Amino acid sequence: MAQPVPQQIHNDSEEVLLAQLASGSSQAFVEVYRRYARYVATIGFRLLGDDSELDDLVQETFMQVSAGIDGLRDPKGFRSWLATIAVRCIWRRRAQRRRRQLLRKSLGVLGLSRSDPADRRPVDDLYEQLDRVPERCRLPWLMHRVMGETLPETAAACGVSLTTAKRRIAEAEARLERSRDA
Amino acid sequence: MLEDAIRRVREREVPWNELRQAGALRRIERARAAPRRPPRRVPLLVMAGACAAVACFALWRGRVHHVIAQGTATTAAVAIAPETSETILRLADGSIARQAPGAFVQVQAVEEERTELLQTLGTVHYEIAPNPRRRFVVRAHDVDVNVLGTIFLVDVKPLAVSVHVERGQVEVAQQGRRVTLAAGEGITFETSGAGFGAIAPRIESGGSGPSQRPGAPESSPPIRTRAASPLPRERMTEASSPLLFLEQADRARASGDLDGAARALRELLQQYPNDTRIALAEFVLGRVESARGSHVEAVRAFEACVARGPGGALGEDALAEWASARSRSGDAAGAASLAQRYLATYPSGVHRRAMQRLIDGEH
Repeated sequence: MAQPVPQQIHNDSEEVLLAQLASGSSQAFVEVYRRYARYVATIGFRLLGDDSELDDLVQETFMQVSAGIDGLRDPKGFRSWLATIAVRCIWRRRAQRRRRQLLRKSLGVLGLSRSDPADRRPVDDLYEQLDRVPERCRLPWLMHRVMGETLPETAAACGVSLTTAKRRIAEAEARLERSRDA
Repeated sequence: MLEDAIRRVREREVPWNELRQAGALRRIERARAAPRRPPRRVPLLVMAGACAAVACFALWRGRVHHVIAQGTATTAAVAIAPETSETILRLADGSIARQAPGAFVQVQAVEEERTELLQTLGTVHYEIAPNPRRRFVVRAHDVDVNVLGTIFLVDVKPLAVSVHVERGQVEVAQQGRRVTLAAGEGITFETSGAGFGAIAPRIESGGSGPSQRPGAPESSPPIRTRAASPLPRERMTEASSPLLFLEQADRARASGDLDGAARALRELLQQYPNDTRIALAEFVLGRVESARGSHVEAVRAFEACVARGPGGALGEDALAEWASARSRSGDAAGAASLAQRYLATYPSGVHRRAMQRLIDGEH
C-alpha cells in the first residue's frame, strides 16, 4: 500500500510541492509519485507496447527525478520534464531489448513474445510494424499519435526540436503506411 | 486501418494498479535510502581508454620493479579473507599485511633494499619476512616503524598511532626520537600538536591520569608506553598470561585502584620472571608505587627495571624515574649520582633539565 500522505501536502499546489521536493522532503516525493506514477506507467506501456518492464521503468524514472530535481528550473515544466526522463529511460530499455533480440536470433532462440488473441491482433500488428521503424522516429510518433501529447510536448520529451519532431513523426507515419500497404 | 489500430492501442487499459504503484514506491524508497553510487555514464570509449592506460602503467611498473629487484617478483597481491573480512596484502618478499575492515595500507615502494608501506587508517597486522639486507618501513602519520623481521600490529587512529609487537623487534621513530620495542611491548604516539623530538614523553601514571615529567614543556603531547593489549588473535594465546596481568594492572590504574595494580604487577613479576615484558612491568610498578607515595618501593622497582637493561626510551625513562624517586625518598646524594649517570648516558635526553635540577640540589 502507498504510504499515507499528510493532508497538508495532499492539498499543496504543484509549485509548493516541487519546492518541498527540491528541499529533500520525503513526503513531497511520495505525493509527487502518487500524482505522476500512473502517467509514467502510461507512457511506458504505450511506448514499450507491453507492461513487462513497467515497474522498473517507473522506479528508474522516479529515482532520476529524486536525483535531479535540483536542476528543474521551472516547476510548471515538471510534467514535461518527467516525460523527458521517462522517454530517455524507455529509449535505453528499447536498445537493450534490441540487443537481446539480436542475441536470441544469433543463438537461434526464437519463441513467442506475446499471446495473439483475435482482439489484440491489430495492436500486436502495429507494435510489430513499429519495431521496424527507427527508434528516433518511433518514440515521437507514439508520444504524439498514441499518447496524444502535443507536438511541442513530444519534442520536449524526446529531446529534439519541434521541426525535427514533426519530421520524424511524419517519417514514422509514412513507414507505417507503406508497411500496411505492403 | 492505421487509425483503427491507434484507437485500439489507446483503448488498452494500462495495467497499473495500486499494488504495482505501492511496490514500485517501496523499491524507490529503499534505493533512495541506500548510499548513492556514482553515475555510470562514462562513455565506453573513455572506459576502454582508461583500461588500456591502466594496463600500460601496470606493465611499465612491473617492468621497472623487475629491473630494480633484479629478477625478483615485487608486485603485491591483495585478497579478501571471507571468514574474517580482512584484506590481505601479500608482498613479493613473503611479508603479509592483514588489514582489518576499514584499514588502509598503500604500497609506496617494494625494492631490493627498501620496502615502504603507508598506513593511513585502521588496524593492520604485519608479518614481515626476515631480510637483513632490506629496510622495511611502515609509515603512519609522522611515525615510522622500522622492521627487520617480526610480527607486529599498527593501529592508526586520527590522532594516534599504536604499535604492538608480537614477535621480534621493531624500532619506532617519530621526528628523530626512536624507541625499540621487543615482543609483547607496545607504544602509543599521539600525533597531534608539537613534534616528538622537541618534547618530553609522558607515561601514564596510576589513577590520577598522565603526569608531566620534570623538564617537559607544558604543551607537550603525551606519549604513552605500555604493554601490548591482548590482540584478537589466536596466536597471541602463547603470551596471554603476562599480558593479562598487564591489562589487569592498566585497568586497575585507570580506575584508581593502585593497590590492585601493584598486586597484578607483582604477580606478573613473580610468575614470569624471565618474560620479555618484565622490565616494562618493573617500570609500571615504579610508577604505581610513586603514585601511592611508596617512594622506597618505587626506587626498588625502577632500579630493577634499569638492571634489566631495557633499550630505547624505556631505559632512558627508567633511569630518570629512578633518580627522581630517590630524590623523593630523601636520598639527595643518590639522586644526584643517578642524574649524573643519566646525563652521561643521554646528554641530549628529554629529561636532562630535570636531571640537572637534581644535581643542582633543586627538587
